[in-house]
This record gives sequence, C-alpha cells and structure tokens, in this order.
Amino acid sequence: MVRFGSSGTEVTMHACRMARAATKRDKILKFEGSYHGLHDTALVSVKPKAEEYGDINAPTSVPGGLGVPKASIDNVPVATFNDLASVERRFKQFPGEIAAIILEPILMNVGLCMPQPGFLQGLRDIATKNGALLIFDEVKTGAKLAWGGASDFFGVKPDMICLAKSIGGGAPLGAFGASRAVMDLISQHKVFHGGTYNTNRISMAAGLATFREVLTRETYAHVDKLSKKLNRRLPKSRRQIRTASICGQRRRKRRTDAVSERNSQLS
Amino acid sequence: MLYPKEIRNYRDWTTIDVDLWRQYWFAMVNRGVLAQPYWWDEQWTISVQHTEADIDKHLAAFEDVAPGLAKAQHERGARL
Repeated sequence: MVRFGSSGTEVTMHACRMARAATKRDKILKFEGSYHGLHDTALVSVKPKAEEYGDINAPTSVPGGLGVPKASIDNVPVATFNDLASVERRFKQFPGEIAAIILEPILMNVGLCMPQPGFLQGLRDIATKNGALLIFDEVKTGAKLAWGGASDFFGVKPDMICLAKSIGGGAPLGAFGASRAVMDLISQHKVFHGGTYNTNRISMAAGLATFREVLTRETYAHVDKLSKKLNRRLPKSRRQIRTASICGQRRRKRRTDAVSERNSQLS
Repeated sequence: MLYPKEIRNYRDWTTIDVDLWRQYWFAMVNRGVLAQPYWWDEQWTISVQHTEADIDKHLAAFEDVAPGLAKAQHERGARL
C-alpha cells in the first residue's frame, strides 16, 4: 500500500515513524554520509567532519547542524556503507532496539557510491534476522535508475520504500509504501498521517502524466542507450586522467542489459 | 569523480580532489555542458529529453577539457 506526501523529507519521516510504530522500537540505523531529508532522524551524520566522525567500524552519530535534539541523535546509530560488519555490530550493541535500517541503495551525495555485491542482500538478511524493517529511500534512485527503481535493478526487496523528486515531474510529490500490515496502522488511526497538500490535484495529475507519458519503458530504453554511449566513449578522453572507472559502471552496465532484455521481453 | 579509487563509503569521498573537480565543472559549463549540478557530491543525470547530439556535445567538450585536467592532476600528484 502507498500513501502520498509532498516531499522526500516528508515521506522518509513517515517511513521512520511507521517502522518505529510497527516494531515498537525507537532506533533507526542509518549510514554515514547518507542524506534522507531534513527531519530530526535524518539529520544525523550527513556530512560529518573528520575530527568528529570517530572510528570507521563504529561511526559516531554527529548532528547535521544545530537544533537537532540529543534524544534524536541517541536514537540514530550510524554504520559504514558497504560494511556489513559495522551494521551487525550495531544490532549486537542495541539488541531489540533498532526499528529499521534506512538507506539509499546507491549512496548519493558522495558523487556516486554503488553497493558492493552482496551488500544489499546482506542488509536484507540482517534486518529480517533481527525483526527490523529495511527501508529503501528511493527518492533519487526510484525513477532515475530504472523502470523498477533500485529494488528491481538490484533484485532486493525492502519492507518500505520512499519515493519523491522525479515522480512528480517537477510538481511536489512524495510517496511511501509498505505491506498492508504496516500501512494499516494509519487506517486504524494508530499512526497519524495528514497534510494539507497530500494528493492535491496538481501534483497527482503531474505524477500520473509523468508515469504514463514520460517515465515509460521506452524512454528508459532511450536513456539507457545514451548512457551506454556516454560510458563507452568517455574512457577515450579520460585515459589521460587517473580515475577509477565510474563506480560500478561495469556492474551497472551488465545489470542494465539484463533489465533491458527483460523489459523488451515484457513489452 | 576524477579520483583514482572507487568510492566505497562516505570517508572515501572526503578525500577526492575537489579543486580538480571545480576546474572540470567550470570548464564543461564554459563549453555549454552542465553535466551535473554545482557540487562535487552530485551525479551526472541523463534526462529523457536528451538526444544523441547532446551526448556528442558532452563527449566533444570533455575531449577538449581532459588534457588540461590530466596535466593539472599530474602536476599536483594524484592522491591514492
């Protein structure tokens, strides 16, 4: 089930609250350097400075600016992206206290940081084992990466998903979704969800038009073709500059081929 | 990101050569290509509105810019 809001901040905030309500736990585990919007739970270790971020195996939770209450910081343990051991460590440190793991399947706001093979599935397993929910913040990846978003692209299914940005085609539109069991907490008035501009006609019309006319399988194939051309031809110019291949480029390419193939079979 | 190593986490990203990135960004913009928003934590984005001609323009601009960036990187000594 899906409900709508007007921004990414709003939907990640609701997702975190829903996870807390569903598990009756307070802590949300996030990754150092990840950005999930501007609410108190999200504004932790977004761009922490070296002098304050501590040990990479157990990063310190650092407020992302003034005005974030200490209670919020205490409820947001931080782990290192692509490091499952740092995640396991937090679950051992706070047994039965972590409601959810929230992440962008590709860590953005650090240029581009691809999940290493097995990382997302590892998180899926750790969350399940510990009775926590896995939240994919797909505000960026949801519509930009592929027709089915990162969940489809990487083949890992989260418990909750957050969407915004591109889905509104420029109009303010966000969405959060989870299983009926979780979302029913709102229907039963156990978790409050409201907002003056939720499902306003302009945003919903823009969202429908975006999905029906713009973000079609055909246009993803078009973008895919351009992306491949850019990636294929760039190294020629880049050979003089010392650089890693754009993070995960080859992996992504292979996976994109698989997705394209599947899409062409479906269409 | 004009950085010799793959970025695996936030701390890797904090060591990238930001000055070199700035040179890259302005050089591309001066040639009419806005590959990404202005900040080194952003990504390239291809839109459904882009065409093959846009990609060609991007590649041509980068071809023009790359030798200068390579020279600057060499002079500064690429950090590994």
